[in-house]
Amino acid sequence: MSEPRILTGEHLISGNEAVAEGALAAGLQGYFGYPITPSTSIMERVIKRIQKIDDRISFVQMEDEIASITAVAGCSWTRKKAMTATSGPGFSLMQEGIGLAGFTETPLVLVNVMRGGPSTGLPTFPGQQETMQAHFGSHGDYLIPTLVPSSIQECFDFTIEAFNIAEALRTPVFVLSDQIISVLKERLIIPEADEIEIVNRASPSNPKITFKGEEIDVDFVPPHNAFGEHEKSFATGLSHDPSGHVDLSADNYEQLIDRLHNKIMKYQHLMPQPDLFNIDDAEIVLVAFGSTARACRRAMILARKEGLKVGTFKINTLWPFPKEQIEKVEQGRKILVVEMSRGQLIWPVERYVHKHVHHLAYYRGQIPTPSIILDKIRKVLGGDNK
Amino acid sequence: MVSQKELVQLELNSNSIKQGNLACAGCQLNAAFKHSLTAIKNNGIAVVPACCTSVIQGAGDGYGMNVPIMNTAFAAAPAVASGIKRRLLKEGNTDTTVLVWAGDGGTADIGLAALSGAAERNEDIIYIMYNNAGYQNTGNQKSGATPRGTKTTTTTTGKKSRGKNIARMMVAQGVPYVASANSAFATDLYDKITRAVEDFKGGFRYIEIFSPCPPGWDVDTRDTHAMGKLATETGYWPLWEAVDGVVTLSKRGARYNDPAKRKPFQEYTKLQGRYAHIDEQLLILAEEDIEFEWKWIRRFMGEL
Repeated sequence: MSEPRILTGEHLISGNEAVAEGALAAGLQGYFGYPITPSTSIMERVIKRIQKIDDRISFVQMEDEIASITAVAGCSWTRKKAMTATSGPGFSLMQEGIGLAGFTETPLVLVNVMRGGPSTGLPTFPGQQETMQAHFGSHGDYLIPTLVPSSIQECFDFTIEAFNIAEALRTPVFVLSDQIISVLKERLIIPEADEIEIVNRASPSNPKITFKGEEIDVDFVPPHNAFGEHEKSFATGLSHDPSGHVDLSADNYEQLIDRLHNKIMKYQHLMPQPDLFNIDDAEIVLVAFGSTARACRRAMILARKEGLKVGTFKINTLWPFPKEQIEKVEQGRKILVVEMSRGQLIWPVERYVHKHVHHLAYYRGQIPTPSIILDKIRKVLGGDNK
Repeated sequence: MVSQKELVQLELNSNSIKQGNLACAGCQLNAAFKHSLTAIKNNGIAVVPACCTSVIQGAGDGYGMNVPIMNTAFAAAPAVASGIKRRLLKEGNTDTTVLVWAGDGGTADIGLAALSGAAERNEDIIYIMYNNAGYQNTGNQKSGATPRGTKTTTTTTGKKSRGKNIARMMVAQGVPYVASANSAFATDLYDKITRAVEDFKGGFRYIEIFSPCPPGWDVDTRDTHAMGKLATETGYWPLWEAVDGVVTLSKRGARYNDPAKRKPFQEYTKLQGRYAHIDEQLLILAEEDIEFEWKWIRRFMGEL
């Protein structure tokens, strides 16, 4: 009856199922969720699995998304790894809780399976329209690491990465999947448990932790004073000092906002780096993430058969944006951004690429097929600047 | 009191829900929606949050109903309805019924704050919750109103806690007219909505309709109507009205106040896959919930 937490071996499963397996492998102790298409099957997989695992993993179906994200934050303050998953409208409802979690330096993982928006939009069709919301959705200045898987293996791997980043840097982390990845089934290889790096957050009694071999600087990431471990443990959404106590002074507030930003930027290199293919001789580079990155890769292969020199820049960590890498790649090459949105990914690309950026904005609730992308490549290389 | 024959004629005349909607075979909420729209004589505006109806409405001739519809954010239907009605009243329109038509998830869970807010302001709207006992639109997850002992994809061994009874909460909040209805008792349902429209105009009204769901409850489509009848006949779904906090039993179903007159609960549960393979102790608790509800009813009838 009982099953191991980590299902080492080969599987043929969907993206949502892989996310659930990644979370369990990373040490999930609390799942708080609310049904919404197309994310629901993550929750359903978690329930099925935790009933068979000999561990006291909490699962609670909450009354709405505001409750889900804040219950995750509450659970995390007991030093337990916790997560939720949602889609479109649910992500919007969670925004205040996200800001609270970021400001209180609460480690948690939020998986947002993107569908077409706004409002109810296209519940069962894909979109990539939360690119900017993941960065700027809640009020105030903050930065939340955002990982963007494009395969079933990455759904598993990036979910573990997300928990590790959350723990190492004491921050919420987003995994932005999309409807296509959520239901797509392909091969997943789950390694042996001892081959998976698991990071647990620092505590006052154990302040030194390492992530990918690098020690995390306590001046950037203060150890977590979780509830029940120390006399003074204070989580507040008011401006506070590094120990958590209220301090509304101008200097302290500025330092806090800076530190919360800088701790993410300082360890950006430990987050999944972009995958670059065929860049060296490329005349044009396709920039994409998620399911559209898959279509771009296929378009690149087709284009190369025609003799067109195409490379791809597949983003794996969307925020913080891979600024340095894109700056290197753009030199002497045309850039084509491909996204399932009217224009969101193009914003950061235009910011860091100091020339005209070509754009395939495909917002039809469908993925742009390789042939559509190839057609656009031909046009761009043919001198069409539209 | 409308007769069954009269109701059939009224429904044919009003043609409230046209052909080509996307309801599942055997869906009872759609039958209830038709009775409700007939009762408001198509003179209304329906405010529908995310729920099965927000999918069902879509096909047809543009959309399937003869009233204007506004779809809202999940948590917000009573607030949207308040906005509509307040403005209609300022324009002097007191006739158009503003109807919130929401499922149990959108009412008992995410929409509860907005519901309670509208009730507190005594908004001139009718709020109807059709209770199909879960998030059926997203594939049968439990809601606050899901009854104890039933399986959903998030209560895979049967829900352990008692379902939320929102109608009781509305009585407790002092809503002037609250009623419990059942899609299987169409004339009773029609009369209650008519009463809400005509006799209690001007204030907040709350009606809850029992609406069996064939796929979610794992019930044969041909049994869904019978399922509704059995729910009342076993005492599981009492039919009542509360006016200013005083409960009266509806003519259809008053006799089930006497437990001896009820059919065995198992007759109701055995036709539903969601009650299959559930721990016996849990099913005993689920059965005890029936008397729990009746005790409340008797207390508010003044019998206790």
